[in-house]
Amino acid sequence: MGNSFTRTFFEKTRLIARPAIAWLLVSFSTSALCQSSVDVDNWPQISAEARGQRVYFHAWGGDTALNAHLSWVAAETMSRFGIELIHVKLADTSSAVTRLIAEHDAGNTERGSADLIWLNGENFSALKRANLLFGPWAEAQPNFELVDADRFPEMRQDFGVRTDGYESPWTRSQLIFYYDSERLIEPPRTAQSLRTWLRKNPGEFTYPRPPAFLGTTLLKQLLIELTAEETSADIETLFSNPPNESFDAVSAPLWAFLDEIHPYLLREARHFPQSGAQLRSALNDREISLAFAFSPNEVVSSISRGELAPSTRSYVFESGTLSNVSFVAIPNNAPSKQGAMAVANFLLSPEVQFKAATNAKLASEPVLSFENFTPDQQAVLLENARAPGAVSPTELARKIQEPHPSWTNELEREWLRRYGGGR
Amino acid sequence: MTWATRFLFLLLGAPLLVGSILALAPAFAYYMPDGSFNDPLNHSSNHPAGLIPPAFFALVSTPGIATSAMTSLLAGLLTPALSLVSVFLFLAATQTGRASKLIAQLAAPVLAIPHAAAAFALALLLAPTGVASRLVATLAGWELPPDYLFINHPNSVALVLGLALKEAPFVLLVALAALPSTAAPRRVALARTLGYGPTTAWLLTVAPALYPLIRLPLFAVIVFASSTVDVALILGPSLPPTLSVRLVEWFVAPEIEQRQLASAAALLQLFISLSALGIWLLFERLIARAYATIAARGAPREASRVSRFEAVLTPVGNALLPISLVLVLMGIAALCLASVGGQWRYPTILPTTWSLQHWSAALSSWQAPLFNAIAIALLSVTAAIVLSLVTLEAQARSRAGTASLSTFLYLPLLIPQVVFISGIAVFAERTRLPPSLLLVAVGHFFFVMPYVYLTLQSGYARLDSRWLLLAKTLGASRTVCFWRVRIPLMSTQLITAAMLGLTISLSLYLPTQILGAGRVPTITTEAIALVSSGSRGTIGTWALLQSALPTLCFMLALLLPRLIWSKRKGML
Amino acid sequence: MNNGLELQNVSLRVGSRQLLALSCSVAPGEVITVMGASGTGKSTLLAFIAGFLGDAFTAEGKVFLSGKELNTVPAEQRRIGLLFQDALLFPHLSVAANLKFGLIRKVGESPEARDSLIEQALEKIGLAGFGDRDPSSLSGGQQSRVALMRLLLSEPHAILLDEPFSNLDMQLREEIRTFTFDTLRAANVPAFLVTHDLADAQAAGGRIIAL
Repeated sequence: MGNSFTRTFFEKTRLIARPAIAWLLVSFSTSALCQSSVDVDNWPQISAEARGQRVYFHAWGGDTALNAHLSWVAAETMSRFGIELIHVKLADTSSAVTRLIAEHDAGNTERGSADLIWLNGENFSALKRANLLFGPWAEAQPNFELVDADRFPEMRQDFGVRTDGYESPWTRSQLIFYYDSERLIEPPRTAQSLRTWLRKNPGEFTYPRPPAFLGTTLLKQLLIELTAEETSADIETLFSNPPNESFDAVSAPLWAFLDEIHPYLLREARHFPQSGAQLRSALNDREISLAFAFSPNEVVSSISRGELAPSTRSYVFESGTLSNVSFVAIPNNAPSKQGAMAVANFLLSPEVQFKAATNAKLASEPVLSFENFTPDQQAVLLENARAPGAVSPTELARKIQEPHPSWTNELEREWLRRYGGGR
Repeated sequence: MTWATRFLFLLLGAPLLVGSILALAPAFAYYMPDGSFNDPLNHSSNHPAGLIPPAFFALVSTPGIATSAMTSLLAGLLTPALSLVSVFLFLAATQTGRASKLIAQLAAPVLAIPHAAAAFALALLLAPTGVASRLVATLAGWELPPDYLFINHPNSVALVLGLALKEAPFVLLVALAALPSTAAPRRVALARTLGYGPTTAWLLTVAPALYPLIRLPLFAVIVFASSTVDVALILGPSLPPTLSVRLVEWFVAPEIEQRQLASAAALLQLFISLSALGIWLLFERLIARAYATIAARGAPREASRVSRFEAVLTPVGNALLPISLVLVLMGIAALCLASVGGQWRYPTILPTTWSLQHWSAALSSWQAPLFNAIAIALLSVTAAIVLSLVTLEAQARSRAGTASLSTFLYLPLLIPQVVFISGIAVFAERTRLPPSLLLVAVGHFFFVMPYVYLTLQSGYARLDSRWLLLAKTLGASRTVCFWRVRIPLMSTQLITAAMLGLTISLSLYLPTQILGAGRVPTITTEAIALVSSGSRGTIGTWALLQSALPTLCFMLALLLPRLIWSKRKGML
Repeated sequence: MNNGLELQNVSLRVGSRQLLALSCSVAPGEVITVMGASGTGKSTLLAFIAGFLGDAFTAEGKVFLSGKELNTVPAEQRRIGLLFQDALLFPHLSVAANLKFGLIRKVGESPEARDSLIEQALEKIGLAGFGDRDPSSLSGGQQSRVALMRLLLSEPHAILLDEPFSNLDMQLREEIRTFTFDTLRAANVPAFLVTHDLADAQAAGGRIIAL
């Protein structure tokens, strides 16, 4: 189980760390006993210590279905493990990062406000760089092996940055496009055909304003696709490294593309929607006829909620779309680390993953592969894949890896510089 | 100054000062915590010589910052102007007749509706897929929604409108409270005998007397309009957003350079709000001079010129304010429709299916926000009432002056919320105070206190001094005088002050968000968090929930005195 | 003298202007009337005696009540009752509660004893059974009588009357006037009456001081 290198490394340091920590405990006996020595490999001890703990789970709260799912998870963790899970609803994950950094600045090393954070990408890399995360712990979880990280390396990679066991997978998502099949017979399946289509049908498309996650995602998607068309360079290497001085040259096609299509967008690009949800409701109201979301279940769940018409269909671009895994991490100053680990492990269990996968209202895919579910569960999953509006698994297999997190920052900065100040 | 007044000065002044300093100081940081030179733009090549703090340099280089600042400034000037004009025209046209009493009664519950809810309501009405557009679509036979930009337009008209819809009733009620002391009917009668029409007479003779009495509340409107975050998020432009919205974005960003940028922006925000005040004062002078010129021109001799002016002003005055109230009510109706609507595609006027899913979703998660909101409101209002009564009673007993305190109390309303609240948050962080309900209640206290104090102060001033004399001659000690004479006779003001304070606390967003660090959800923070959800039903439901509590408080404020004093007609 | 109200060289000024200067003594049961036009300081004099002199005024001289000097005694301890133009019955209290307001609490007195006292008082003014009524439901004359009784129940050592009948109409004035002075005489306390109506002064039956 797990990475043998990390295990050996951890075991070696444990021999030195243990006596030192014991000394600290004796000297500062007033601090919480469960702080300093958390033995991630001793799972029975962790479960025992987790019982009775209160875990503050900082996760984006803008999705009521996800909030409801987490309420169910909380009820289960309480009844099964005696852990009180509290979902702290964030408007934006980066606010959790800010808070953590502020706590660190103020010297708060033991009573942090978050025990578990849902994050990925730049948020994770920022915290990992600043050494604000507890770990490694993820691969020591009993359920980690279900993820089959050797076969699916993206379980250990977060936007190209190695997780090194500092975060545990929870959900995965992929960019999909969707459209109203009553108004659009053949949607554009490449960036070029998107541009052609927009010229002939102005006002039928738009995207959320960066730095909203979905808007930046479109920028990355278009950039990768346009760069692949223009140059013959090694796209993978180019984008898994941070951008360097060639950023302007590399991103030039993207800005040229946007300059061309902006006048043909909804509201002539004088105002962008704030989120994917607003984009969806614009499609539903027939303001636009093409939209996109970072969730394969988007159309199915929206149809079931009555938020999209049953005639809506979803698809993936010909050359693939961006896909990533999102994780949960534990801050260094979390008071309830054991509880947090127990919760993360529970999130990886087939039961929770299946409940999420079959929840028509949720917007994500499970991180457990098909084989981990029981035959009954597999039958249900297959049935769901055939629902109207669902993306076919063959299309979903066309995945593009996320670029290095720094690309996000640079792209957002440049977009804001060019378009953020208004015309 | 009594000890109580000094204590209040300290209690309010110290956090304001400390908070503002802590919020603004990082803007001047030349060095990062690790000792390296502060270079927020990462373009170290052409940083100018060291006098300008780096954060300011970065602020000035932010794309669209001038537009953001101008938008905030404009909103800060146009909102009070629009509110003032509509209120004055209304009062002039109706001359406190029956219509004005009716409108005043309607205006009061509109006041209870939180700003964000009113903004949502307006957006639901006037968006391209909103109710108004659907009505036109049904009449004109459109199938697709028009592609126009009004809400979120860069010219911030929608923002000003949304703010004015809420501020005009506020100005109206403040004006009505001050009106009796201007002896308006006498002035108007006098002017009419000199040949002026009734509306013009009111505008020329009563308005100049009324305006100084409502100046301070108007200043509060100016500062609020130039620094609002929640309404700007909903109705304001996004390319670029208003200064206050960007400020909050930077403040919650993880990078420390952004925090410093936020401090610099806070200073700019302070400057913008003060500039708006300054420009307003300039306009006061100009208008005063215009009035003098008009007055010097003398009474109109030809009836025709009078009646033309009157003929335009009177119907406009009669209509403006009522129309705005109707707009708000229509918006609330739209919110109600949205909250119980299932499918509501364009262009149907009513939802095609009805559903309680939004309500059941909201009600399954409203317990904690509801509890927090009520607890915070009760804590802050109780503290405000107790402190106000202690101070006012001490002043009454020592016969000390009160003017300086009343003006000072306006200070939290004249400094942009975001400036000193973020400073208090930094202070709490440094002193390891955890984000808690209590801390948020303390934050709310600063905004509740001015209104509570001023309401109670007017109660103290209006109480006939003979009651206390009488009680004393009957041998009542000062304690008995306070509890058995003053408090019962001021009960209506007490109830009004309490309800006003509760309403304000219930609709505060920024203090709860920043001081609570997201761990103290209230109905308001939950509602605003759902702005980007795009779901009309969810937004409608939470906007209604957000409005329900203050409206309840307002109704209680009307009913309670009637209930308590049902057997004592002399009290009503 | 021992009982009664005495004013020694009392002089009231506003700014540098002198309003009035007065020395007199009032025996128990006697009513002294001070008469004068508006602005001559009549009400100010009463305010001074009762202990409520406003900041704009300066006063010299001493006031004695039952032999005790009052200048340093706070108003609520002077045992001086005041009757105003308006009855000023507390609108938030019932008639009985109004009467009870000034009733001196005696040690060991039971609530029932106080209630019966109130009831007797109401009978004396012809308003038996009116205890639970809302004061605003009483007529002007009834209110005046209750106000007077409230005053007496506080067992004052002196009573000041500030134009108490001027708000009553002609018919009522005669009736209330007679009632008031009869009651005052029976109570045997010194009284100061301020009025501009000569008929009031004559009904009072005591010395008249003109300002």
